[in-house]
Amino acid sequence: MKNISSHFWICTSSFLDSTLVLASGKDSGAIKLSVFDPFGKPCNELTVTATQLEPVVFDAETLLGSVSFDKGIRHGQVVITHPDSVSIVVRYSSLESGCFASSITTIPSQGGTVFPVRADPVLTTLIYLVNFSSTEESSARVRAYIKNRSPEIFVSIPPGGVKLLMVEEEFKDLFAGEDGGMGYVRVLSRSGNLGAGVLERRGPLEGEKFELGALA
Amino acid sequence: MNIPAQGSSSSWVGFCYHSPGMRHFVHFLPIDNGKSVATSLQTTIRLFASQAENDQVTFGGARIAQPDGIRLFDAFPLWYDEGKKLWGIEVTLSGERPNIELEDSSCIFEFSLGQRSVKFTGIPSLSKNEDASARPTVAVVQDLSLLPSIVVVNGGTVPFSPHFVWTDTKAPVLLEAIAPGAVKEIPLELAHGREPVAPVELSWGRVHMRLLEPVGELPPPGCAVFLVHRNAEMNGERGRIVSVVPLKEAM
Repeated sequence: MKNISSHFWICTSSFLDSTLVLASGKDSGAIKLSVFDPFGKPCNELTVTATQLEPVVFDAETLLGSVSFDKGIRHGQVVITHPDSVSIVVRYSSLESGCFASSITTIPSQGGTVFPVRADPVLTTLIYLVNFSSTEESSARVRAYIKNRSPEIFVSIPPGGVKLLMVEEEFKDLFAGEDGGMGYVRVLSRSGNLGAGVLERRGPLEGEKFELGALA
Repeated sequence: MNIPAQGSSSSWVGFCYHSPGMRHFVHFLPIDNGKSVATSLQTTIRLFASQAENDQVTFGGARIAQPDGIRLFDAFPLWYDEGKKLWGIEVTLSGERPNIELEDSSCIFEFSLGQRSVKFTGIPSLSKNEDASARPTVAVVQDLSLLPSIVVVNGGTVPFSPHFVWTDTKAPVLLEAIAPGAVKEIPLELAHGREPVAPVELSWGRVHMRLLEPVGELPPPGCAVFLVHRNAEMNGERGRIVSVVPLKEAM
């Protein structure tokens, strides 16, 4: 059985929560979870086993322990070292809605990765940049494209850490007056150690509901 | 099917669910192996729902390193006269330059209704797996608000029989062959009370989990499988799609 490492971003707050689900097709053997805060500081480590009939479930609150708030939520990276027979998903949930995402993949050093975004007053777009390396800082260029404008910011992510970008805040000038406009955010990194995903929160919609969408 | 010539084009398979008022988008980022040359590319989008319902458009204008997208209604307005339906989509980016390498490009599918939208990455038309026995299992989760299903897209030229078994019972999940050009959704029911795996009680309710194991041969070119979750309506019926996970590694 081959051991592999999977990376997940987890979070917990009053409006957004997450749960990791680990299931194995056979007795898994040791599954090691290492949790890092947004600054890359190790904050939890545990080893579990999963069997065919007993999946393992962790809510983010349990894994994050005393991690402090960053941009209004508590969050961090979980590195899971596990046999390839173990399957893992994360469920992001708000009070009224949920969605699933698989592990974060590395941003290709050639060309980067792109996320479609939309200028919409009910939309909050959260991009998480996760440094897979535990020893080296990673950097990224984040460029937003709406119509003919494409401003860019530079970010650095400490080893093991996570950088959160609220797109509508980071590119406030670009989104102003562009209601309904479509655009893109492109993340470029040549480090080979950086992963990215996006979580959208829409609301309030009719009935004062909020909805979630993920793309990792 | 648009079979990509090695090194000169790249193709992805996806799907969308159509109902009145729904909008669909295809987004792509063409990458020429890191060479940011202002080469113009062709984009071909093929939409299909059966062997008889099959249409494609090709347009230019896509440029290397420039994210771009298209609203499907602009390319296929006649398809929007019909009622609810699952459509398969194949997107191909191709360049005229002989040494162009587009395999690092990416493609994202989106469908939205009102202010709600679902986005997911496309699955490359040609599987990158070489060993059918090395494919990972797929965790399937069902709870009070999210109901799982599998969407199978056959954009290829031969029938596709994706074989999955539940790892706990080895009972098969998918048996029938999906015809070329067809798209099919197969609901998965994890809570009928006879599952060998006991549900877990979590803060957001009772959760059922099982594992799907891909067995049999690797899929033919142009075929793809997605794990989908639909909202559970008040009456227990399956509502709209809220989450799509492409099963790239399992295919």
